[in-house]
Amino acid sequence: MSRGAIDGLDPLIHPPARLQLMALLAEMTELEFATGRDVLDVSDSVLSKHLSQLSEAGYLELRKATVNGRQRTWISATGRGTKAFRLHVATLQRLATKAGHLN
Amino acid sequence: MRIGEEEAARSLETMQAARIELARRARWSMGRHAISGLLMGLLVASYALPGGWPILGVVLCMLAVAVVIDHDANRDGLVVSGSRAGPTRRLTIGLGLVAILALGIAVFLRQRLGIAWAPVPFGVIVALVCTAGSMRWEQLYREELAGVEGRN
Repeated sequence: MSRGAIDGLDPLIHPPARLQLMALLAEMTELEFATGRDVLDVSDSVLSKHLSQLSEAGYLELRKATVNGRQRTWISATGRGTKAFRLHVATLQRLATKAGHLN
Repeated sequence: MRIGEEEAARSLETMQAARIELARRARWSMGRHAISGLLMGLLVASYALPGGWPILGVVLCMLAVAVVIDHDANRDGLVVSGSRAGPTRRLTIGLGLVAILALGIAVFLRQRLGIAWAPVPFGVIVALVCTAGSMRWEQLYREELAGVEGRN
């Protein structure tokens, strides 16, 4: 297995939970915190940490909304985040295809 | 950043697992599809009403759409745009064109030929087409999530 520096891979997106989160957000307008936590099967604190790092990088936007007296956090990908995610995935696909893991 | 081919393949599999889980959750009831179709149908059928009432009908339908979207978001914890890129967008545009065409014919029949009730059957047709279209939209969305390794 060869290893090398690859243009397009984003270390901020690469951790599994963040890659999964960005993959979900690429398919929708907004995702609610609790739904994201359940789909990714992570704890509140782990998801909060990922959200904090991705939003600091400008990849995500967080919106607070109160529904029936409960505050809920809605997550959406920014244009910058979506672009970085698509580039990251394209690079992963190129690598995996080269190795014969994908057709 | 340096990773190997095996790790790249594993990352894609991990990502796909989340998409498959989302596909599993992205299900709407038959009633929810019927409400979508009904609102589109009412939008067309409301033009059968006399005077300025069709405008009120349109406003009420638009408000109802906003309520349905808000209800979906709070129940499902996610918001998916009907006009999102991919095969679903073609279907959304197609359904919109069917509704516009039906409305155009209904208004023509009413205003030019004096058939005041014409928007009603066209509204029924639009309601049925849009209900079926909504079900197909969900199916396409789930298929796309479950079967593709990410859109580029």
